[in-house]
Amino acid sequence: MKRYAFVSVALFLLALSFQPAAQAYLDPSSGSVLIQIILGGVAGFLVLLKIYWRRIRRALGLYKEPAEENTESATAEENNDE
Amino acid sequence: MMNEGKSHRESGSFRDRNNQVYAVDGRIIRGISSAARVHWEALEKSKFYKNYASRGQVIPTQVLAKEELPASFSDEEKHWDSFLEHERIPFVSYAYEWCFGMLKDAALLHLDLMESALREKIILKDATVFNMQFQGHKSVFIDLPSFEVYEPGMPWVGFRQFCQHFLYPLMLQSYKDISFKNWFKGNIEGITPQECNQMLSFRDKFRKGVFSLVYLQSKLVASLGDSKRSIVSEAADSDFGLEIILSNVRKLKKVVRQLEWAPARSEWSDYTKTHSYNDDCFEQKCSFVTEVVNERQRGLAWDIGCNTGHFSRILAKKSDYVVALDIDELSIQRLYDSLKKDGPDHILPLVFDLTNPSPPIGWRCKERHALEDRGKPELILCLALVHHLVITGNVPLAEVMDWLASFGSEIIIEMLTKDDDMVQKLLLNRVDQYPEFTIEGFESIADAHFTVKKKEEIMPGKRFLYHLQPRG
Repeated sequence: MKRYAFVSVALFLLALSFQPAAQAYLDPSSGSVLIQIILGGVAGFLVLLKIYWRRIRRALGLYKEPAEENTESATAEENNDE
Repeated sequence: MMNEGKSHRESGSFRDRNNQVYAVDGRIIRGISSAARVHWEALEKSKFYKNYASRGQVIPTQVLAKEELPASFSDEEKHWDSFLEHERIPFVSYAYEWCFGMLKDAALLHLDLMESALREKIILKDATVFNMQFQGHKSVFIDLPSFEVYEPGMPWVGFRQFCQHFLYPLMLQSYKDISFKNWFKGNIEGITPQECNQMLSFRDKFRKGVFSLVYLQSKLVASLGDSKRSIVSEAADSDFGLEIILSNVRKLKKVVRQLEWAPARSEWSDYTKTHSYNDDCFEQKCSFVTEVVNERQRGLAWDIGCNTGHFSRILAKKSDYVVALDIDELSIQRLYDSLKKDGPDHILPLVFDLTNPSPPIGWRCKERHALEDRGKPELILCLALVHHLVITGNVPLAEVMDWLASFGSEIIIEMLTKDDDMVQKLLLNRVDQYPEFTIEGFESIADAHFTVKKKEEIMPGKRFLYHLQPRG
């Protein structure tokens, strides 16, 4: 339960953490991709569910990262914005 | 561009390393890499490309064999895998010279192209407004290597660029009546989500598309900007697909379509009769211009201070292409609307302030060109203009004539005296610091650069028309 609470707080912080953007020419920009998903109708909703379901599983240690990916926990990374 | 007789790399073509545009002896040739050739071949086979190209909405293009390249092409320039030759746009223009309706039409064409391309699994990889040009009143997409075969899982990379270059500038003018033109002159990348969000009021956040496309996007771009985990790869792993992009394109289309610039919706009342003189005088002006125009067919002609384009239409009868410039956006919007409705197709209407002109901007100030560097007019029409430049703009008359002479073109120019009602109105609250602003003063200044081919007094003691021929 404690972990669920942490994930919820982390996601809440993610949603509220406003930072100066670091954007290069034609970096699709994570924020703009997320908007595309949010506005993407049913298909977008499914993608959003998959992304967040994976994040939750990763936070709980239930998701096995593919070999080439960074193995740090998602919440630690997402929250690393101070 | 003025590039006759030599080949050169187009200075605005460098961001995408897979191709390079060269302007050679007036021809537009694009070298493309082997990677870009794969995408071009897919595009060439697609149905939508053929449709849009046949309608002139995508620049007509053909493949050029290396043996067909102009002799002036250097070996270094021949290193590209393949070459394409594009039809030449008669006169290049930029978003900061377009009226609201032109940017809106360009935005809608971009979205139409996206939608049609996606149906054939091709996508536009970017969405810069500089990929759009106008041929007369018709918007044309010019950057063919922007079309790429869609890679499953990839988001629409150009989404934010579309917002910055098209959507936000249109919203700013539609909702706030603030012209997007000065913004583009100051920032080649348009308006960022954060900037747009700051400018729109709380009330505006409830307008169609603003909450998600402006407010939410600005917050998410800011909050996820430094995120180490790429949502792009996460989306790809989560079956992000074409349907999502299509759904976004359709949504954007709906939002863009309903954007209007309120003044453009108003009645024509003030514009049906814009001249401050009687109809006889106007008729005389028309026949003077018609007579000069009818002398011979000319190439490019400019109508500076074109208003709603009455004289541009006269010029168009015997000119290959007419660029109609006016400082007043509403006049240009009227002209654009009427050209779309009734033609002709070879008048390009642009919003332009000579005392505050489009600067050369971008990397090393060479990406986007000044007006003077985009093509030399054979004939310049300056009716009811000089007094505005000299008195309102405080530009010395000698400077105005020197600038006009720099083109080496024929000029039709109207000169007013201080007895004219309009000039008196302009002088009303000003110190008269314009002693040279007389007919004698004008003729003596013009004499240094031009010979007078024809002179006519169209309003006794008040208004004179000249047809000037450059010396030498």
